[in-house]
Amino acid sequence: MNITEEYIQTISPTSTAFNAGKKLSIPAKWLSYGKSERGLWGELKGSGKKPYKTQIDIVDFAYKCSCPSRQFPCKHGIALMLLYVGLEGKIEETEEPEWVKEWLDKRSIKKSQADETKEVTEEESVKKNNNKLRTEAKRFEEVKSGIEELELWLKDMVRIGFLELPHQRKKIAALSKRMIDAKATRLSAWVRSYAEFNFNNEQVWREQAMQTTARLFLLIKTFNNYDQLSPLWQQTIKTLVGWNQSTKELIDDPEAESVEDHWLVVGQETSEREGITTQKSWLLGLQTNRNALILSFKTNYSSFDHSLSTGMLFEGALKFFPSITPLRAVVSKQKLSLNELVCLPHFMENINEVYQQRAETLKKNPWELEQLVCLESVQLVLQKKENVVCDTFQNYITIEEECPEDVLLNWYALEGSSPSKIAGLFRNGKLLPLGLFHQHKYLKL
Amino acid sequence: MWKQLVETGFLGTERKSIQKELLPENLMKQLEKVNDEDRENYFLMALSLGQYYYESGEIARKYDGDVVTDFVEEGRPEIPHNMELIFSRINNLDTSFTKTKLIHLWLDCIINEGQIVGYPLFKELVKFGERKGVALKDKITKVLSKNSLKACVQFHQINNNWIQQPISEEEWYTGKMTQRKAFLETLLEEDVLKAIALLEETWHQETLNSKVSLLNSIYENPSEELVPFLEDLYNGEYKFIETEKEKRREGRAILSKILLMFPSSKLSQETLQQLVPLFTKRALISKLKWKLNFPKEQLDGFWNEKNMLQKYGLGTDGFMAHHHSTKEECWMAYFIQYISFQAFADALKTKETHIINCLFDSKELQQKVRYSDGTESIFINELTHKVKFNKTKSSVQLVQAFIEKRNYNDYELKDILLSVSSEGIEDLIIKNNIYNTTIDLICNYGSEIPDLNFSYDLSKKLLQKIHGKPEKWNYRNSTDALGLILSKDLLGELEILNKKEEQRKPSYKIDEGRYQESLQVWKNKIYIPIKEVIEIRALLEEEKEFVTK
Repeated sequence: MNITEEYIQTISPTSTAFNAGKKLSIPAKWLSYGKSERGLWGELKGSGKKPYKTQIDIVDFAYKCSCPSRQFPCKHGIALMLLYVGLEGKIEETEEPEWVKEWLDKRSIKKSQADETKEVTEEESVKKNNNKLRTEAKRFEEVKSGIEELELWLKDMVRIGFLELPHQRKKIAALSKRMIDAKATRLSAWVRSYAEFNFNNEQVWREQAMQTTARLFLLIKTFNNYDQLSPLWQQTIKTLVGWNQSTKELIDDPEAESVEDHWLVVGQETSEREGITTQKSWLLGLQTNRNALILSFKTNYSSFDHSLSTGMLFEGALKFFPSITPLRAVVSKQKLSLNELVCLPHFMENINEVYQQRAETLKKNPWELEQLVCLESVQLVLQKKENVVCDTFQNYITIEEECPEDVLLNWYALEGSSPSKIAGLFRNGKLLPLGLFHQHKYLKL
Repeated sequence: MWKQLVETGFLGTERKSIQKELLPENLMKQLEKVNDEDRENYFLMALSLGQYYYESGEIARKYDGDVVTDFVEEGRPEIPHNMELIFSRINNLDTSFTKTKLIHLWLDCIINEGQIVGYPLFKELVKFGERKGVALKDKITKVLSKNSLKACVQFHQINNNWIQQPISEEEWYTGKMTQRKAFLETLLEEDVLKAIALLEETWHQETLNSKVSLLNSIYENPSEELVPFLEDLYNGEYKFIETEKEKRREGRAILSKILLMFPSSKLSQETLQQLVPLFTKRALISKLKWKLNFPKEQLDGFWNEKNMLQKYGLGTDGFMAHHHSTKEECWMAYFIQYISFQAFADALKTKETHIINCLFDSKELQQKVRYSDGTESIFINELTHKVKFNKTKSSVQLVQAFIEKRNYNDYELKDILLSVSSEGIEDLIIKNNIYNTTIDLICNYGSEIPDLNFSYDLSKKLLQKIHGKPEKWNYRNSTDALGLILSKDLLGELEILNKKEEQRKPSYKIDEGRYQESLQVWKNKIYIPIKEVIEIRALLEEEKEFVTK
């Protein structure tokens, strides 16, 4: 894979860790370092008696270090990668030392074991299925009772009026917890969002509250009609309510939709809630024009999957979770990293196409709130109040208020306000620019 | 339609019901199946369908302003990858001063090559320049692409303070005092006669405050050609009068300081006439010696407050009891500071060295004042000033006398030693065997060290001195500032010493732990920082040579 300083900065747990790693990335600071076809390693003298042994699996990206740090990757891992970048990869391939070989072998054995499907007898399979059905039925009842309460609360709110919403924080918090107890975790997030509106901006929160209510009620009604839905719709609704989708099951499922393409990571976004950080990676299939969303989670005990970073382009396959509008996916095969864009995605010239596509998506799935779009010949128009993106037909979309200023600075520095090809995220009627297609390269904004 | 749904939702169905007639026909058809007696359910259904209907029908809005296409074509190429790596290495160094100095060199290379720093590195560079001086900021703006520069200005990353404005003559007539002073200082360095002409032209229009400011600029850049102009002022508008304003006295004080510096001035000559009798010759068997006899206060004549005020603008507030025990000592120190030793020597028909030695032998001038944080000698300001204004051979002699005869500290030596020319510094270090002091000076006062480039021999000697006691550096600053000054040919020597250090076996006196600690100090505090900086310098030099070729 292509390791760049920017990528290392992205995966560093903190900027302090990155800076500390940078300080250690001078070749003279390492007692030894080396590289093989599948790994990087190095020994570095730290505060302990023995030198720290740091190793990186560059095929199926992973790190290991003998230091006691809980950060992942630790500063030594970061330093080793930076050392590799600083030397422009010019580290001669040598034989792996025993400690590196052992770890990499273990990893490849583990991976091949995971790839082998375990044979299950028919009796075991029936038993497993029965258990699954029983658990499923029980959960369904629990969710249903939770949803009944939610529907009741919505009706109460409609009766007394949403003007009362700012005074409902306690009730909202309790209801959100109730949804978790009822195992409707995604609904819990919807409920929680009522308490997170900016109540200082009346016009905005009124609008947001009504949009959320409309979507949530439609979801409740659809769930109440669960039995009449097609299996794919049932699956979609279950996911929207809070059923988890198992990555392992998806990868093992031979019937799951798999799409091979040149996949470009066009953007990443992280959000943190209650100790869990979620990273959304938006991917674009350059040949198939398929969009994909890959989720990765970080807690105090686990780290993100660092195999993706914005701007990365690889040839491989993604497996999509079943949905009426399949979007969430996992990387099932990552064959080859590509340096340049060999082909470009389909660009929309007229911003109205974005709205048309949005309408199409809504027709299929009214709960699909974010949409990846590629726009051609659009210009950045900086204004005092709000910045907009304008096409050659004078149609425009407003840029999200939350869009970091740095993104606009990058765009302006690269293209001025001349027509550009960009990728962005269209949501809530606004656009978040993610990257720029610039001379056979995709540049993160 | 949506508006009325939002209104009902906010007020509540108890207070406001939906006006069905406002709903679109398609929506009404869908709602026909919904029981409208359950008002809340009916509203929520209408809201859900309405939202879906509304969102599906949205189209892009038209921009009614002018969309200006604004892209400036950039003809300059981006810097190559190796230059990006050099930047990263520089940014990774320990001390801010060393980084700044090397970034200057790095930017010079890019400017000479006519290249630009591309995306995304330019942002890191701009961030680097945020807290740096205008000279560096200005260079940064020169290596940004036209669009990047525009973007940085647009997003307030860069403002007018980043660009060094070229100073023009126009500034002299219309600019603010800071601009006028800057213009005058440049002119005093480049074209004194023009400076005098401009000063004469506008002097009568200046305020008292401005005049003092301008005189201060002249004091910072004095030259002999200015003497007639300054003497006119001294004898004219700054001549003492009983009812004079404080600014007039201040102006006279500056004028007399400048005039004393030049033996051709009348004031300098008159003053010397008064000072000469204070020096007495003592012929010893082996050598000639001069002695300075301090004057006693006179009610009338030269050595009294009235005369000092009238002639030199010296007020009584300038006397610092903790520096000088008598006023006469204070006045004497003042004259020594401004009148050149050569002028003393000429007046006494002796050698300059004799005057220097005489002053260093003077008990009165050798008095030490004890401060809470250590000892500081008096007379240091006078000497430093002298060295700074007389960057000649005599300065080396003066510093030599200072090193030989004074129980100095590093701080005192720093100012006086670094004011000498670079060749002079090297000679003084070798002659006086002040290697360790030099190392301490460079590492502790890096930002105040001028551009020096030590010879290989001196560099080697200094390196050996550090290597002799690496543990000394355990809790000290990084040595990377040394890398800026030591010879580039030292890398080989550095590697040899590093090998030696690595292969050194712990002796019976030093246990393994202490040996490891000492090795780490050598590596992290000495070997790596010096090596990094020298390597970076060498790489930049290569780039520069490549450009020249």
